Amino acid sequence: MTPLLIENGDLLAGLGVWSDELLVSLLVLPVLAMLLGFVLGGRAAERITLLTLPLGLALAIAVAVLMLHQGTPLSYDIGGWEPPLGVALRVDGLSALLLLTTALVITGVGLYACADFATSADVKEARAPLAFWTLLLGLWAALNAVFIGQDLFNLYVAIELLTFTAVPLVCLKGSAETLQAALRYLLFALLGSVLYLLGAALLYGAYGTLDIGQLAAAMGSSAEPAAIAAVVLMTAGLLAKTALVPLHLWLPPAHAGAPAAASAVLSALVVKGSFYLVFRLWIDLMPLAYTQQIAQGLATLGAVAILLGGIMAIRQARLKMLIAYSTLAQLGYLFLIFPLLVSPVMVPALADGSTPAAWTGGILQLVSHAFAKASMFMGAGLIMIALGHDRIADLGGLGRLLPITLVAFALSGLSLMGLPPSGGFAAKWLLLRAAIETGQWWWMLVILLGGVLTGVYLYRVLVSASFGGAGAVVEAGPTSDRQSASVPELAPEALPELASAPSPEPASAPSPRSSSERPGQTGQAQSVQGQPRLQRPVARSRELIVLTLALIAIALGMVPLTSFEILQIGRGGEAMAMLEPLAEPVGLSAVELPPSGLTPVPSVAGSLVAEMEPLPGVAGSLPSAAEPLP
Amino acid sequence: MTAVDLFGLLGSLLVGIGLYGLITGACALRKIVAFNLLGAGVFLVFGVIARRGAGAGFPGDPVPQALVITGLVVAFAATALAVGLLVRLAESAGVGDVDDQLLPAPKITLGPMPEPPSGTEERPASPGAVALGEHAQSRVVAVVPPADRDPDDQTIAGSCA
Repeated sequence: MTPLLIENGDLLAGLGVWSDELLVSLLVLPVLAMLLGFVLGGRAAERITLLTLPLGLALAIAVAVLMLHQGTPLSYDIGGWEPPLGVALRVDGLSALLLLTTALVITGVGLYACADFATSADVKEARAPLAFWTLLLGLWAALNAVFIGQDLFNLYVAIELLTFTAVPLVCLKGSAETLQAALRYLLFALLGSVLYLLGAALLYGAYGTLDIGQLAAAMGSSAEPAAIAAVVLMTAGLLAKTALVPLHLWLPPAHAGAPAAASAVLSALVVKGSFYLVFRLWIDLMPLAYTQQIAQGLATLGAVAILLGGIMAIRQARLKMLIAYSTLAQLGYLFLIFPLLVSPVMVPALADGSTPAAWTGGILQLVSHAFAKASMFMGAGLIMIALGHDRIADLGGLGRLLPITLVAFALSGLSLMGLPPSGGFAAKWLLLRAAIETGQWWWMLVILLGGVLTGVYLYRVLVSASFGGAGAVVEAGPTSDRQSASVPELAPEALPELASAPSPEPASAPSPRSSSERPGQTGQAQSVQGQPRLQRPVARSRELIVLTLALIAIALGMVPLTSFEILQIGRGGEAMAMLEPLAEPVGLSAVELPPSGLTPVPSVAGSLVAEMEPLPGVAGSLPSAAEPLP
Repeated sequence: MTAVDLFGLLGSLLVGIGLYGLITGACALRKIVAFNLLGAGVFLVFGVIARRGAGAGFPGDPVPQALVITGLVVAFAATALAVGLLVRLAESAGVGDVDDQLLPAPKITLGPMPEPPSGTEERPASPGAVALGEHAQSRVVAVVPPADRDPDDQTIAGSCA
């Protein structure tokens, strides 16, 4: 026992020496693999990706373990150049968890997609597989860069890379509908990116640095007007990319139109990347007093997203659209974190370094939704393959055809609804508790109502899938209204696979009530009794991947909450200190400044503040760096 | 008024025009052009910041200049991607727009569709009128003759006018 422990310690100590290299290879590995795959082309891209998956996963685990072992955030200045001139990378408790989530979901998606994006034996290279595998690696690199970036401009590049890899994933099929969805997505994203860039310019103009830690320190407890304008602009831009409610129109067609594997990463991870930046801007960068002012507004948009997304999901006739609208609703929960976290009631708790419920709940919601939604979209992909369609009303008999997928769908649904013992339950319960603790009962109502709506739309799917044949007749009355109302909206999302099923439901067609009423149209997809026939068999292994992701979402709810204290590593520092500068400054600085001096942020920033008048920050920081220049 | 002020104002003017165009633009191509205007304004702002933040006797702070170069590359790539998608969309569907994205929901009504022979359906591109939903029923975005469209005919109905 003891030798093992020592060996273990040695291993970790050895790992510690390599912490810089680990951080850099989080970026380098996927980028190199992407470039190599693209250059070698053809079948090589797939092989390289499959080889990269375990390496990347091991890397994420190594970083997380090392950070846990050290108990302090890992950080590295690229090329030895310190901010503000250099670019810093930093992994704290939250980003380590997100890196791990990303690696797990992408590994699952990669394994799942092998069957969909295999280059067939008779061609040397096919467009869709090559694009998918290289884009998947690029997306991974972009997400890693978002989660470990510490420099606002570097983060801009990362978030752009994320968009540029996500948009082509939407239109991999190349049909007109997906092209339109992709272009709409891109136009929203362009607005977002340019607003973000403008904000970065203004922040640099005001403080002469783009490093988040230095900016936070330079702001102290009051931000300049330019900085407020900058952060608001950046937030607006990022909300467009996160698809928060007034800017959500691109999401459902894009996420529903993409191939199942791509939908899974888009819904589970891509939108979280831009949310993470919103979170960092308002929690890590801005003084808490400002966050308190905007928190109710952000959460109101989130509440509208929860309700609107839920209602729209109930009205959908197609499974993938339903799941896409569900993403919209679940993203809304993330924005409830803000008022619950920065509420004045919570400030003392924040200052003494304990983990507030809203914090853990919000992060848990993010992570459990990532797993649950990836599982759901991939399950929907299997259903599409097996039945040849994804009309919810005609899912009957699915329980016999794809029992594992249906169970996985139900388990993911459990987590989305927030029923015990799932990750979603723990998340929503913690958010509820935070709402009660901070006396904001109205958010409690929203959370509960959102859960009910989620239950309703998932119930529809499960009932239709489980009790198909008989259920269809019973449901005929109530569903016909809904479907005739929503069919016109669905027309653009009619997916090419559906071309194999007879008619892709022109807008004027009568809604599909029970299969027996549509004798001419139900041809291949259904046999006489309303029982679906298997169009194409689905590999058991793919079902198991879907089930595994769903089980992870469930298992998150069983992790003891105390273990989420690790999220606090490298946090609870500057922003909280700003608001209550007198509340144990010694303790806080001890948390912030590890003995090894890995996070030099406060000291550097302190000297920067000392020299800082309206603009001389730039002038003050330049000479030292400029000396080597001729 | 110094040069810095002047350029700062010009930059913000460009940002304003671009933002207006991006939000109210009638079609995708206009939005893309507006995005470039907006980007140009932002780059000008970067230039102004480089100029007024310069220290140590430099004529300009090099950091924003370096950022602008990266920003230009990103904006160029974004524009290329958007135009590429638009061209592809026009080629495959004869549609030159993504609909007015400010409408509540994208509603595309596939026009009078010839009864598709079951099983072997052509791509959904061929059918004719693509119109906006009830919010703009009068605006027919693209009318393409259903089946007998000349594949070489590059004219795209539904221009920005």
